[in-house]
Order: sequence, then C-alpha cells, then structure tokens
Amino acid sequence: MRGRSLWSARSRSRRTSGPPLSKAWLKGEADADSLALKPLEFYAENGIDFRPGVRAVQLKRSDRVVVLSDGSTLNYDVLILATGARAFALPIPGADLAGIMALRTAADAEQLKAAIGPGKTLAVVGGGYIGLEVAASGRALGAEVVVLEREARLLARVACNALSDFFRSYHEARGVRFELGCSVVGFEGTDGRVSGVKLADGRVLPCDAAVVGVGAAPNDELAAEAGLATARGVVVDLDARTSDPNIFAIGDVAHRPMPIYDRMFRMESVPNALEQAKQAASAITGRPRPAGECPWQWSDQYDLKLQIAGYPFDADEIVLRGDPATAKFAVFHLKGNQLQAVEAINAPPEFMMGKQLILSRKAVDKARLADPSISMKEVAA
Amino acid sequence: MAKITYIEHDGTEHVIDVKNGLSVMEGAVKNNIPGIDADCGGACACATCHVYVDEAFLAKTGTRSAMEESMLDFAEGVEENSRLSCQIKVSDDLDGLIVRMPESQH
Ligand SMILES: Cc1cc2nc3c(=O)[nH]c(=O)nc-3n(C[C@H](O)[C@H](O)[C@H](O)COP(=O)(O)OP(=O)(O)OC[C@H]3O[C@@H](n4cnc5c(N)ncnc54)[C@H](O)[C@@H]3O)c2cc1C
Ligand code: FES
Repeated sequence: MRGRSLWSARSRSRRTSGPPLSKAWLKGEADADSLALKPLEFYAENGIDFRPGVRAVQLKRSDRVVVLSDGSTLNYDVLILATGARAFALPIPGADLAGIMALRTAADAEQLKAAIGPGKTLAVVGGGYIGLEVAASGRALGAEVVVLEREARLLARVACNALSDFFRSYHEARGVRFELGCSVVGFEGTDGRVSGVKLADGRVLPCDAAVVGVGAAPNDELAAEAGLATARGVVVDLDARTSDPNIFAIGDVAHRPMPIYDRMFRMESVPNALEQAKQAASAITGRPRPAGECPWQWSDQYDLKLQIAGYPFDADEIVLRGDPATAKFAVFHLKGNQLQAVEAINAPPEFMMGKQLILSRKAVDKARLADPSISMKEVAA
Repeated sequence: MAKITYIEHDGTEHVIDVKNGLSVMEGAVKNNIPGIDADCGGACACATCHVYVDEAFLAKTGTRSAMEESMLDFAEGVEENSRLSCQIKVSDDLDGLIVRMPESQH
C-alpha cells in the first residue's frame, strides 16, 4: 500500500540542496536544474502533493491536524517535521541593507553572484566552513574577499590549530584577507545598499556585498508550541521519533542520540538528514532499524577536498598524518586509543578508514596511524 | 542529450534521456532510479554512486581521476570497469551508454 504524502515548503521555489549554494552554484558550475533536488514531475508521479510557498503554522496534536498558512488544514496519521535550520541574523545596525545575505537559498546565491565580480569586494562575516567556501567561490568569481572572524583563529569551534592555520595560509596565498579576533558592530550603506562593515575598533571596511555565516538555529517553534520535547532542536530517539509517537523529526531540526559518543546533539549535514530519513521510514513501515552510521561532512575549497568524519568529543590527543605543506594530510582526534573524529584534506583513504574506525570503536595504534608509509588499510587491520 | 540504460542489480532496466552537462549519477537520481545513493550529491566524497560501465563505453567515459581512484578503493566489489557515476559527464558521445549497479552502495 502506498500512502499519500504532502510536502509543504516555505520557499516559493523547488526544493534545492544547500551544499552547492556555497560551492559549484556560486561559481557558476551548476545550473538551476542540477540544484533542484528532484524535477517537479517527480512529486506528482510518486503520490507526493508538493505545495511550494505554503507554510505549516500550527500543529494540533490532539486532532492530528496541521494548520497551513493559506488557512487550510491537513489531517495526518504520521507527521514528519523536516523544517531544517535558519541562519542566525546579526542583531546589529544595518543588517537589513540590500546586498547582505545569509546563504540559505538559491535566491541568496543568485543575488550574491549578481553583486560580486572583478573589481568588487565581498565581506564574509564568519570564518567557519560555509564562510570559507564562500570566500573561495568569491575569489573564483574574481572579487576581492575579506573574511571577518570574532575568534582569534578560523574554524575555532570545529577544528584544531593545525587545521585552522592550514586553511588560513591556503586562503591567504589565494588572495583572501582575514580580520581575526574582530567584532562586527554594524553595516554602513548608501541608498539602501551595503557599502561597508563597521568594526568595534572603529574601522569601516568597504564592501559591495556581505555574506553572514555565523551559525544556524533549528526551526523547532512548531514543535515547541505544540508541546513536543525540544532542547536546541526537537528531541528524537533512534527511530527519529519525537515525544509524540505519531510525529518524527529529521535533519537539521532534530536533537538526536548518537550512541558512539554517548550523548545527544543536533547536526547540520546532508548525511545526517539522510540517515534520519531512513530511520523514520523504517520505523513507519515496520522495518528493522538501520545500522548506525558514522556522521560525516565534506567541504570543497579551491582544489581542496576536505572530508570530516565524526566529532572530536572528549578527544584527548591529536595525531597528524602527512605533511600539511603538501596539502594532503589528515588530523585524527583520539580519546584514549579510540578514534573520535578525522579531518582529511585530499586524503580519501584516511577519511574512509577513519569512518569505519570511529564506528567500530576499535583500538588504534597511534604510532602506526602517524606513519603515512603504512597504508590506512594496514593501520585499521 | 544521451540515452542511458541503467540496470539495477536485479536486472531491472531503466532507459532515460539525460541532458548534456549533467552527470550519469544526476541522470539516475533526478529520475528516481534506485541503486545509486549519491549521498554527497556529486562531490566525489562518498563513493555511493558506484557503477559498472559497459565495456563498449569504457574509452568514451574517460579515466578516473586520482581522487576518484582513491575513493573507489573503498567501495565494495570494485572491478576494472568500476566508476563513480558522479564523475562521468553526459555528452552526445555517451548516447547508448549502459551502466550496471552494484548490489549495495554501503
Ligand atoms: C550554504 C550551505 C552549504 C552547506 N554545505 C554542506 C556540505 O558541504 N555538506 C553537508 O553535509 N551539509 C552542508 N550544508 C548543510 C545541509 O544543507 C543541511 O544539513 C541539510 O540541507 C539539512 O536538511 P533538512 O531537510 O533538515 O533541512 P533543509 O534543507 O533546511 O530544509 C528545510 C525545509 O523546510 C522548510 N520549512 C521550514 N519551516 C517550515 C514550515 N513551518 N512550513 C513549511 N516548510 C517549512 C524550509 O523552507 C526548507 O525548505 C550546507 C548548508 C548551507 C546553507
Ligand atoms: S555522489 Fe558521492 S562520490 Fe559520487
């Protein structure tokens, strides 16, 4: 039996994917067709009633009803919340000027592409992965790029010093300027368009466009207002089920258990959303729970392929494998002799074997791990 | 445009017209053909878009890059004609291409 499903999306366009927005799309290497997750016919052909531009505004759990922004209502037997996360906006003067954007939608990326190019300056607020990807794409489009970061180093929340330093010099060698340890206090504008970024030390850095990439917050209001358990996201179990057995939450909005780390947290990555989609689908259709996966992510900057597996929770030692000067190396984060996370730069074997080791919790010989002359397959054997 | 035949592991065939410029992976995913997961959406970062290219088309589909080679090294059941389908760009030249899917991508 095939049930009917209904998707509603706040944005007016087709569902698009996030990752290429800061990468290939921005550089003009992807077109709208390749960005759309599925062609429109797909939804109709598969019994999916896709309603673009319609927002779910209220959840009435006792009646199993969702109220929509066009005033209509929908009954459900099972409901999946996949409302994602939204970019944090900076609560500072001028943040609503034209030319300032958070890269969340294809429209943002279009606007940015139109605003920058040779002779233009792009300011990027936030030196995380998204900020760095945008910086690399900005350079590829010929713009001057300055990245502003509050912390004293890049990727401060997620990466170790060695990796921060590596990215900094790689970007600097390709013309990106960094302002680290600086605090952005406002934007200045002319005729309603951004013309500069104002820093706490009084300086104003001129720019023609600005991208703000300072993190995201889960869109969990619907759930919270309906009384579902939330904690920096909608709380779910290993089946992606919320505190209401008929409601599931998946992807960026979910606060989920991660048994290998013995804790719960919220992730923002495509593989995480896919894994939880499989968990929910299995639970709903009465199939066995899929095997746990190792969380992972990737990032493309210039010719660098960064692949990250796991999270460095509770790690007490870092093992470097390979030489950063060759732009081919990996940073392993260990807790005792168990692998918690690996960041691999142009190093797929380190990433792929790392993923397996993180999941298996197998003890790792650190000396062998640090020796690139021993293959990763042998290290993990 | 190229007509591409995707053959699932169980023998089910899907014949699809794929636009030039898309990858062989995108042709499958956008047409909801099962058997290619493509978790990373074509970034050559996941190796879940593994296919076997029909021998007659091996030359036309080009050679594996170093990155693809080293990702493929970790896929299951890799053969001489294994490729990551996100790394094969569709062009008129590939009209008639046949690719087969492995039993599993994970
Ligand atoms: C620029 C950028 C680059 C990224 N790069 C990577 C990467 O390289 N690798 C990676 O793994 N991940 C990356 N991510 C993260 C990845 O895109 C997300 O983790 C993933 O899209 C999460 O999927 P989701 O379905 O949970 O949420 P989303 O994709 O955010 O989808 C949520 C949808 O719900 C809609 N919605 C919200 N509220 C309502 C409502 N009340 N009613 C109706 N609809 C609603 C929204 O409009 C949206 O369409 C990136 C994200 C961005 C923004
Ligand atoms: S889609 Fe991930 S490697 Fe091809």
